Amino acid sequence: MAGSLRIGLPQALGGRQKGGVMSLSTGSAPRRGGNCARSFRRMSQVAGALFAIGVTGFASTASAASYVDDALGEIKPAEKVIVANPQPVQLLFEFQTKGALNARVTKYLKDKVVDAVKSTGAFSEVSDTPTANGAVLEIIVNDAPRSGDMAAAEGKGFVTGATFFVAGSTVRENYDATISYVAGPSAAKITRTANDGVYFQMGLINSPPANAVKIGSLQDAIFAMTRFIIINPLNALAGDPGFQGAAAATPAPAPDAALVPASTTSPIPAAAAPTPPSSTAPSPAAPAAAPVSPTPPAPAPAPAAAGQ
Amino acid sequence: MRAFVLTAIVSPAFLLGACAMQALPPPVATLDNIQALRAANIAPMKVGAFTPAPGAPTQMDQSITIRAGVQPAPEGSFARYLGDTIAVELTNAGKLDPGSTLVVSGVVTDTHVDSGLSGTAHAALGARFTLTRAGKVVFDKPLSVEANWESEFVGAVAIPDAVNHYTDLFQKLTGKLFADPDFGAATRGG
Repeated sequence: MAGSLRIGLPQALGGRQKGGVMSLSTGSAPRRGGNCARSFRRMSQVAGALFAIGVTGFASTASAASYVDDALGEIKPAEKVIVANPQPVQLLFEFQTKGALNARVTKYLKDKVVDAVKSTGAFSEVSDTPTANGAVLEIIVNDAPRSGDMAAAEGKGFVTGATFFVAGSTVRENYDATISYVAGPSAAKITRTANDGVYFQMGLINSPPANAVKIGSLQDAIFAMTRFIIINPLNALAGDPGFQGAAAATPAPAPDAALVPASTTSPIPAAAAPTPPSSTAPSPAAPAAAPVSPTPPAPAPAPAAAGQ
Repeated sequence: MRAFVLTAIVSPAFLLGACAMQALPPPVATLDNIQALRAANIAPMKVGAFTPAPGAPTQMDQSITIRAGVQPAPEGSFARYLGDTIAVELTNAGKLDPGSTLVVSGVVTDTHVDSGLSGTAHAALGARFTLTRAGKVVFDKPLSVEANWESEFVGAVAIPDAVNHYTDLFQKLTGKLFADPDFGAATRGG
């Protein structure tokens, strides 16, 4: 059963769908009995097995449809910022759930993130370790449900399950990305943010969500979202004057609806703001981005998260 | 992904699944902590022993229990995980020097997670950090961090959520140490 509708990242989420065995027990009936009783028991077992197979097959055919918001997508060639003199960079990546580090998904998506960063051509080398120039790129993708998302998902899931996947349901998962870059040990931090969403559909009766592109599996959709939510703000970042190596003559990309085009650390729009964990406050705003100056880097994490 | 999971879990056909906690991956560094290390001009150091406080229950260091879920500590010790977190941050900031006479070590004094069926969940992590230079103590201070968040009713969502908030505290406690002005001064003062 679990194999028929996989959630995509069960291990990364800390749980594991085990077995997938549908057990239909008829109680502790004695194994002895006449032909009639044996036949009844056999029929019950066959019926149970058919029921399990039917439900499994039904769920399988009714389960798979995943979409990604179409607001970001791949960067259009005309909007791509060409970095004239790419420099090496140390890459830090963190996946968060409601603002808290999710170590498992961080590990799960790390390779995709590295691939996405490399594909932009903004850096000559992407490294896990410190580089000679001291440049650091930090990417934080936060799975940040909007208000009411969880309750809605609960209700939709119940209806779909209760109707054995006839009634469809569509769930949108909201993601916010914050990409920060320092060109060197004394450089100011420059930041861009972006928002994206992944839709997951279950059930037979469903219609495609508006403003979304269909992607294969849920896993593929999450991988696609990861790429889109990184390459777009990174492209905007590469156009910032504080981005070392950016071609001065290259025009900055056109603002995208899902992209926050501020030149410095920008808050995520209220509509896309992550659910604030009460004591895991985000870092304070960084100093202005451009031009690169020897101003002190951003302060340490806010002590708001700390015990008093 | 949490909504996806919740949708699937609430579907009755998925109630057959079971939950098992898997090992936590290695810690990751953050730009904020790297910048804190750079800003304070902290001297390179090596990471010494990180242990649970004397007298603390052994189980406290080996695993955390959240409702029906048990999250084992990486390599069997959350105290060691704190040391590993500090080592990762120092490495990524170019401040880890295994040959240094400056050694940071710690004793974990508090570690717990409470995530009930509803209401506010809570996690805390505390440690007493010690910095020695050539064997002489130059910094000794207890620091702690905590987190509060809304707890989900469904355990398959709430348990990983609690694990995330708990492990996040290791980064935050490390950041608090690096941002401590006394710690920075102690690393620089010869």
